Amino acid sequence: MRFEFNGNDANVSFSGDLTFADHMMFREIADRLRASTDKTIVIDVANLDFIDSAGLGMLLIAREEARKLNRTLVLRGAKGQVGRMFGLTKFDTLFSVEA
Amino acid sequence: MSQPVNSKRHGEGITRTRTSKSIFVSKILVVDDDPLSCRLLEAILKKHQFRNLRFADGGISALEQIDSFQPDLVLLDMQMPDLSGLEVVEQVRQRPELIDMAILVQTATVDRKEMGALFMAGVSDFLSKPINPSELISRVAVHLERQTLLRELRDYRGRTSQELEAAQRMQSELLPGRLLQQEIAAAAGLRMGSYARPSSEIGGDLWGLLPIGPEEFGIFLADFAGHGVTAALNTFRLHALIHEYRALHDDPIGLVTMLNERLARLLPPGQFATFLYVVINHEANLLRFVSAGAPPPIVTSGLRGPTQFAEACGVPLGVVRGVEYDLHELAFLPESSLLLFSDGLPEFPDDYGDRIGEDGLLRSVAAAHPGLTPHEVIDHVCRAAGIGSDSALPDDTTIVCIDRRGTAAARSCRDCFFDEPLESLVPGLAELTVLRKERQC
Repeated sequence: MRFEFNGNDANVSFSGDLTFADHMMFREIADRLRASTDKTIVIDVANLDFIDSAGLGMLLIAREEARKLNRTLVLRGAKGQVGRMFGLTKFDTLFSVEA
Repeated sequence: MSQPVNSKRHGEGITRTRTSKSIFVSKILVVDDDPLSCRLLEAILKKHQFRNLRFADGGISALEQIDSFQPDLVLLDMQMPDLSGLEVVEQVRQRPELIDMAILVQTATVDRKEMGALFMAGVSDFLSKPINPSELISRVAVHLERQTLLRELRDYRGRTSQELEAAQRMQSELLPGRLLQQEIAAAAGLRMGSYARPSSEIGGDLWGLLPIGPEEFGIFLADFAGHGVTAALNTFRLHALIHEYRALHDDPIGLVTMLNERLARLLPPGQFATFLYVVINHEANLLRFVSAGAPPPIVTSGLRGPTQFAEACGVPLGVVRGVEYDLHELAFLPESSLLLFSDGLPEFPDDYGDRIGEDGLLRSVAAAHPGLTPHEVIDHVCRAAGIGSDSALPDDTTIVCIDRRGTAAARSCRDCFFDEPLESLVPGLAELTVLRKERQC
């Protein structure tokens, strides 16, 4: 998986595959997202090609942390297999899922 | 690892603060053709608590003592009349069981080329001659300590792998055995095949059969996120919970809702399970099912299809409490088949890193010949996904195939089916036999 922060620490884009192998990297990204001060945190997954259940688990951990800090986590632009996984697991009821 | 040596007094009384006492009972073989050298080494070693010593006066005697005494460490002189130190080292290192034995050579040489040759042959370390007591004790202690740690690590790994094997057996006992599968399949007039392989010794997939009544039975497939010990322990939790709520086995929404409430309280954030529960009613020709984020099963209706996903979605188990799940119903006529699978199947990366994906899997099932037995269908989809019998699986993979095709024929010759005692005795023959009987009937 590759990631890029978009101008500020509360907006990050993912690309490639998000799987178990990325959990250390995800940890670092989550730390940086937490350090930001914005009320809304955006993870752009438009260029993410694939996510497995461990990847979904990481997003759920991020969701829990955002919830504790009273912030909103937005997942933006899911397509293909990622959109399919979000659909199967009804992620729209857990996150703010935007097109 | 190399703890500094503390001197009580200058030049003597060396003790090692962290070293376990066990190095002092280690077996040391001193090899030297000069009796005076042997006595000197003995005196130094004994003074520092090393008591388990033996001596050899030449190369051949050294090899004999290595066999009988099995030393942990050898102090080896280089120049001996029968065999050179180098020859002894070469012979020892050819034997795999002696690969870890520490060999310290005593040499007066400073020829770097010769020293290189000795290291290449498998020498562990050097002692310069004339022997300096502090150097001798320090080097001996370092090598014995390393060996002790290595042995402890090896014992630990051995113990862990034994425990994992025991855990693996326990986990495979959670899954429906062949007999239960045959019993339920025969009672429902259908055929069943299953495949379950964890990615490591133990995994996070679980499937099971829940007998309900004469007309229906339940089948579930769960997949805990991640794999390994945590996921495996969670499968035991889930198995216990499913059997605790026996009264809900005929109520898919009730069961899945209750499992979610319980798991949401038990599991920390990030741990969850996808779960599919299907109740198969073979009298009403109906599937009732609830999904908690599981890959949708594939249903082929009739001998010529269509083959399609039994679409359903839902929040995985254990994420949040208070989730409302949806019940879905689908006709499941005789001549139809059902394939349940965990995401390890569509997400398996083949030799080129490509995954078959859900759509590829659907096409593969649609292309399977209707005459295939459930096990042959499973083999067919595994091959299509690139999973071979010796493939290393990155994720736990479970596949269950339920087949009503040829049900009418099977039912009409059920008597001859049950007259085949061989089927229950020889695993794998059952499906073949049924197929043959069907053709005869």
